[in-house]
Amino acid sequence: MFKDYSKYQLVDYLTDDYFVDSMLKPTLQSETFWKNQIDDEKIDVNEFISAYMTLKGLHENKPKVSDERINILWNQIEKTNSSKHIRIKRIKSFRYLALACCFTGVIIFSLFTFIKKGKNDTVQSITDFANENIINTKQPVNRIQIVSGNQTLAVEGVQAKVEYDVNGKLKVNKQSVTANKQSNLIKDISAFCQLRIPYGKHAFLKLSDGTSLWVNTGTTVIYPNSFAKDKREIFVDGEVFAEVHHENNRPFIIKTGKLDIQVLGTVFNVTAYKEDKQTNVVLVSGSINVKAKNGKATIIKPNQLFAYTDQASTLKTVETENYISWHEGNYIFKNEPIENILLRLSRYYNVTMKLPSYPSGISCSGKLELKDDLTHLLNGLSEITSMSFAVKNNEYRVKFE
Amino acid sequence: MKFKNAIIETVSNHHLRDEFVAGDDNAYSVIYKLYAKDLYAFGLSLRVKTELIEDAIHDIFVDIYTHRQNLEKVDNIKYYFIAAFRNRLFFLLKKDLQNKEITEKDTLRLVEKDFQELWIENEEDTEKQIQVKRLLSELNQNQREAIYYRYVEELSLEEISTLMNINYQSAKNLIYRAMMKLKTVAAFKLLLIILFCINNE
Repeated sequence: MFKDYSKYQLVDYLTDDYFVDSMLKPTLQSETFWKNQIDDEKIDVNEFISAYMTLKGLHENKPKVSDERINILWNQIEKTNSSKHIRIKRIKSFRYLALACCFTGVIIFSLFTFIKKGKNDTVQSITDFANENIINTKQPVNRIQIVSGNQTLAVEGVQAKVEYDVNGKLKVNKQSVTANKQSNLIKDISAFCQLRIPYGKHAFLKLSDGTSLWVNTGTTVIYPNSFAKDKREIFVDGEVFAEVHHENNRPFIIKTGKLDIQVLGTVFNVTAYKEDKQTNVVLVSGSINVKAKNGKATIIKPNQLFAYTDQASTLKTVETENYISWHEGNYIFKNEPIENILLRLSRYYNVTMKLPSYPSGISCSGKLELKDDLTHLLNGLSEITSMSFAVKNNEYRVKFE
Repeated sequence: MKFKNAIIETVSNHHLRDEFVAGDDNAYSVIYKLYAKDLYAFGLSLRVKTELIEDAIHDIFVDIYTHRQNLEKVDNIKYYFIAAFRNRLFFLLKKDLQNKEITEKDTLRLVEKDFQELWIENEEDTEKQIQVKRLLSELNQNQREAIYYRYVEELSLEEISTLMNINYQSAKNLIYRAMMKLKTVAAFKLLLIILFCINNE
């Protein structure tokens, strides 16, 4: 079971895992083993003791650190955290509010469709519809899809322009969808439509109320065939940049998995991928009301970022440009952990990236043009940081050394 | 025959981690108290100036506070912090030296040069510590780093190789060569004698 240690010398012991482990973390078994070895004169005791002494000397050679330094440092860390924490709290409550708003929106919408139909059958809320259609379906499509009922319209290309006019007539890439398809698509007025964007693609969606949505990669937007009279409600899984058409009497509500965001007419960005722990809302102009699932509401003002996770939420002032530039084909970031940048790029270009499991500690600031080739962008990042990468079978392996 | 000081309680810190991830700030301060001192000592052993060490510790603890979910699936918390600290420290070092083209090895070499004087003398040191320091100054920075991980932080060779981005065999060789080197240094015998005396007191 054990090695023969009879010929072992100092260096052999010191590089032997069993020896080192039994000296640093002795167990009853290891102590007995070495005691027997010595008592039975199976090993050279001088070498053994020298190795033990050396190991002890090295082990105890830990530089001394005063408790005072550690405490001072702790106070600084707490100070930084509390300043961040307050912001987080504010942002969180904002999200809650948005969620509540979305929620209310859904209910109103449901009621509206319910009344309109004049039937007693239960009207499905947009959230329920989303839960059925998003949570259970992955984003598998390799083409952009417009889904209505059991009708699916697939659009070729990496980007699509999907527009509804005031009458709800659909145009895709400036071409009217034929009457036949159109009638199928809007047959059931209370039904929901889905715009599904696979990773690596993006779209522009104009809704019948005049609201413009830039829909980022890997995103599903659910919207009704026609909006209710008292509210406009859509569901987003992923990221959209929204320019909401102002209507005093009909709030616009974006629901996400975690938050409801209610607005009258504003420009803002929502990042809410269901696989992400954090949901971000960045407001460019106007005012929005965010409500989280637990009912906590927050009001977001222009130039604020509301970041929400199940544990915490923050509200802070940001340069909105960094969060919304993607809809113009740029990606601007400031002091952003490189992991976040790579996650964004892997989504945008629909590639798999393997990152080391430990944090790199690298943050970058800059601007990337998303129309550029991904390899070109990564080369750029590698030049300014210690990052390196290799491509194998369409998989990007990233190292930080 | 045991290192009384060295018996590390192998209590799993997973409950602490889980409490922290769930939002418990007490767990956060306990985690800080558990690991900060060791990280500081590790930084000192690399002879990095205290200002940067403190910045690195500050940054990683602030980061983990806002991104606590990062710890959720971490099995070896100590290793996580050492790796995060090492990365952050080297990043700050590079920034500090304001030269982005130098590699990590160069960074270390530069650090070494700057802090050589600081190394040996410290009035509170015992004779034993002085001898150990003299011995270690015979080694190169890589060897010293590996030895610190193995004999002070008690990391496994696998962990050391991942941390230093070298393969398992290289990590093994690094430590082996370091020990061979130590054996040949004259001060080594002196150290052994001192250690024997202390032990017999």
